Amino acid sequence: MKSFIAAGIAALFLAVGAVGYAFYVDNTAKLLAGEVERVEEAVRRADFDGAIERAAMLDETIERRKTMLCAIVDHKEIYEIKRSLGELGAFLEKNDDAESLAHCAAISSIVTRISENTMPYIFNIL
Amino acid sequence: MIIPMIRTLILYFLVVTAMRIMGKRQIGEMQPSELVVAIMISDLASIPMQDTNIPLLSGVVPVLTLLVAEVGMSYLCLKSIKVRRLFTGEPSIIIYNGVVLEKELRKLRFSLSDLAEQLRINGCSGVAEIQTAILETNGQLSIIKKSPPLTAEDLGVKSKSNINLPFLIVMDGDINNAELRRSGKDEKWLNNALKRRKIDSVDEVFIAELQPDGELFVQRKERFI
Repeated sequence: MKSFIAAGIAALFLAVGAVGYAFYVDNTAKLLAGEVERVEEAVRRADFDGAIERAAMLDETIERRKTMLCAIVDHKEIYEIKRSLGELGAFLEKNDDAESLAHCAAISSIVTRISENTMPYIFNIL
Repeated sequence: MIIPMIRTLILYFLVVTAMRIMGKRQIGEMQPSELVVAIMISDLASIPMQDTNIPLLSGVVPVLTLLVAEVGMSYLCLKSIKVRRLFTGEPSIIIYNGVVLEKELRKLRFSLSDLAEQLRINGCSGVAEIQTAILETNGQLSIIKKSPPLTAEDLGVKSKSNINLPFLIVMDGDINNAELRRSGKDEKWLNNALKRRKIDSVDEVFIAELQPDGELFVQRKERFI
């Protein structure tokens, strides 16, 4: 009887966790993607000071959610975002719009991939 | 260093707890599905132990999922004979009324050597003393012996202990020459013994076992019966 109760609790934890996990990752991915978009817009407007500010806010958002993200996402993805963000900062300092936009696209692609990888799509299962 | 240690301890306690919840059967004799689960759990738990880039939940979630699946399957097997048959199979009778069932052995891919080994492990000296033998779903062999003959003990007479094993001299039509030599007999003796039983050739014999008391137990292959 105790086994069934324990298995039931585990099943409940898994079901609730799965929903919460998908919701949290999707929410975070959208938030980060939005921040990256704002950096891109600033770069296109040639407002590099604004872009640097936006990049700093993006970094702050990642730091705030880092613990939770590391619990559910491959740490290499987080480090990849941080690395790209560091490189983006350097190119923004140099007012290099091409490289900055390239790095924004790279960060955006990683963030989108994190969100896609958590969804129960057939290509993820296969 | 410390991070792998902490992860290992967490996963260790998780795996031990999961195995305990799945029940004592896991630790003792296992059904095929239970063996699969035990192997998978150990494999899954070891991955986040070694690679600290992988989130700890990547080990915890699969272990919990297997726990839920295994307990769920156990419950279904309890409630439904069909499900039980599907997942754990059925026991197979391989010796019935003292006769080794050749077809059953072939179906199970269980050789005579495997049978002899299992008999010895179960404390039996040979096939001749077995009434019924059942290969259980967990791979163990259950044995019901023939009524034992009177022993010296029963008669109140002291005797030297006899721990000689029988000689398995023919297996599936092939003569085991080493066993034949060890028994002190030769092929001529064997052929004569078979002729007395109206068996023309060794090829017709499924199993021939020379008992320590000199008695020869012979079983023909099914197609020659």
